[in-house]
Amino acid sequence: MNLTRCSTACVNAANNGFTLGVRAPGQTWTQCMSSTSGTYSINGVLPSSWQNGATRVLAGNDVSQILFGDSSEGSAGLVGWEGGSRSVEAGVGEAMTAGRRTASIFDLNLAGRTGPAPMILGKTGAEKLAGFLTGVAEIKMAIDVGLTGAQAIGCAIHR
Amino acid sequence: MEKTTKQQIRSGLRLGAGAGGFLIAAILIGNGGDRIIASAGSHQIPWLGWAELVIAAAILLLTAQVWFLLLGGYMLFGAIKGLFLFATGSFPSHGFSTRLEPLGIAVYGVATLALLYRFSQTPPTLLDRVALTVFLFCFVIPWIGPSSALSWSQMIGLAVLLASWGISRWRAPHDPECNAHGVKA
Repeated sequence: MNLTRCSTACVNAANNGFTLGVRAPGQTWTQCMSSTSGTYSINGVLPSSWQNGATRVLAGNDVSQILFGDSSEGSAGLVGWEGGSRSVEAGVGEAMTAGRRTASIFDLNLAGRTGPAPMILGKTGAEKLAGFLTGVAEIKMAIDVGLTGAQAIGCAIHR
Repeated sequence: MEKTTKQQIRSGLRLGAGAGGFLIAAILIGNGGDRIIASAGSHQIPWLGWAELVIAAAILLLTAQVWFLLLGGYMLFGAIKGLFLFATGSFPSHGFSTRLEPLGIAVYGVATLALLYRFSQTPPTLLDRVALTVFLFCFVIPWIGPSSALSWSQMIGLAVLLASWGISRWRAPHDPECNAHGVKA
């Protein structure tokens, strides 16, 4: 079984069983990383006849593409995530509190009641959505980083 | 409330097992698909290929409560990339012919993400897990579709996810005293 599925730029691996190294003879590590940047992803493990525009865009490896492949395509996702998470973080604000002297809105303070103010809403809808989007983006990035690490190891070893 | 170290370890292992299971299932689907495609001309039934697909389906069913997050990540980044490609009109390696194709993919990604959001509030039921697994198989095994960007099977997968959302809404207990927002009148 080959660990990677070579596409156009990658020389086909010898079909003689399990292979760990993917670097072709005479190929530099950077050339190997560049030629396999699209293969270490969900899209990359699919048979070529199963790949279409949606699988290429939605199931690619953005980290590898930015570092070694077509950076203009990979960076779009990262820039969007970075900008989006920062603007959501800045925009959603804090959950309101009421019923104590420490309420975040001054008019909701009650005379004579001290201690931490209970929150009116545990989390706002926008906070929940922001948390979900940040969480899924982090997991996706972690997987992409892991696959790029596997790619780096594969390219460090000659076939 | 702060999580204890034990809870954090358990949560990390659960997340790792789910994401690892997803990747193993993806490799099994790819290998199984290769075997089935390779045997298309011959009269032999590719048992090993089908077995790999069945094992992948079982892994996906068991770990759906974790890998839906990873699927959401793929859809989030993909939707942003689709919008970026639509805005720039430059698609060097994706083979799109019009700007509408990456826009369609962005809409598909956002719609999927919206349908996945409810699982972050309530864990997926058995029916939801089946729907998620069917969605994934439909996504990675595309049939010829209206364009090179999206296939019919990918749209069917989205419809299955939509149906599971509809069923969950229909099954949810309704309190007649509650208004549309679930607040008691």
